[in-house]
Amino acid sequence: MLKKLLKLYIECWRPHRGESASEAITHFYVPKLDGPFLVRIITIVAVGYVIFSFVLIPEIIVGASMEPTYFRRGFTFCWRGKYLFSSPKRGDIVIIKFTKDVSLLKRIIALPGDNLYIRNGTLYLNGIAQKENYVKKPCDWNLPPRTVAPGNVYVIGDNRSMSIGRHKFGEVSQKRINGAPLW
Amino acid sequence: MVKYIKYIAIILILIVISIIVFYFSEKISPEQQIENQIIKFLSKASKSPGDKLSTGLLKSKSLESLFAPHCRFSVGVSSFSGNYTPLQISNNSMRCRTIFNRVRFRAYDIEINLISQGTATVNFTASINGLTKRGEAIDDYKELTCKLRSIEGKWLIYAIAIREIMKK
Repeated sequence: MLKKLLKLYIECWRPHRGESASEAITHFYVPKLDGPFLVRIITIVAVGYVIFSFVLIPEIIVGASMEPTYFRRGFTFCWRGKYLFSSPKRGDIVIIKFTKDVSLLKRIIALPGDNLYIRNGTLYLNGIAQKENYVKKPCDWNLPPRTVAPGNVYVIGDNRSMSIGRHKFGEVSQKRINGAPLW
Repeated sequence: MVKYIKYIAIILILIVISIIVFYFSEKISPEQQIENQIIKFLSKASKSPGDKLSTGLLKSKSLESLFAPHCRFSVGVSSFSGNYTPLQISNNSMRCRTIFNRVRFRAYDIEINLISQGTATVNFTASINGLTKRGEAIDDYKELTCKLRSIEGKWLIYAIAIREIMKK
């Protein structure tokens, strides 16, 4: 029974068998609205829904906090499988679930147990000044020392030319990491 | 008599099915009970635009039934942190309602952990959306942890911790 159904399903994907080349091309562009066509459409919609809802989530970049790595009005996908078998590392760009509808694109700069502070725009991690090649714009931020709590990471954007008050960054639970941008 | 036996049997079967359905629909899992308490708490703390004073009073008063005799509030370094009785929580809720024209609290990503027999921790994100009487719009999200204890078959909140999602 199952074998028969599977065979029938496979047949739905080979609708042009026995047709001439011109007929096959015509039917490819103007398909017949029959049962097999409906099966193909339902399959494509279902697979697309699963992929773009749970695996590769489309994300529009609204803010400028990750410039010049990611520009405002850019587009990417959130790859949910990124941290299925690995843990986030320093320097990773991650997508953080902030609210129900809003995610944040940020870079991890510190891991649990790390002590960090920023002095005159330079990031100090466990007392050592860090060279951050991805920060291209001038920065004059100052941030007092803090230690990242277990289970959390410290994230920040690459664009630190804006005032520290306007930039959304900080310590966030690792549970909120949704994935990483696909590109 | 034989004719009636058939109908009696059908009625009996229907009664048995009804009892089974009623029994299982009444039996809600502890997780579901806890989630219901959290949703009830946020719904009673919310204020709709047309809420009258009496509605507010009733809603605030009914909040009392959701809390344990002593509930610990932790709100960062705020002076609001401390221990409260259900009556104090109800009074504070009433006071908060007077500040807003409308305010709505909603919970997302509810995560329930049953720690031991009769104790549970709930982590969730709460959205606060409202308009103050001064005309200021509020649209904020916070991370909440609620601790609940089962007292006489009811899950009551005995600790609430409110945190920023992203702490600078």
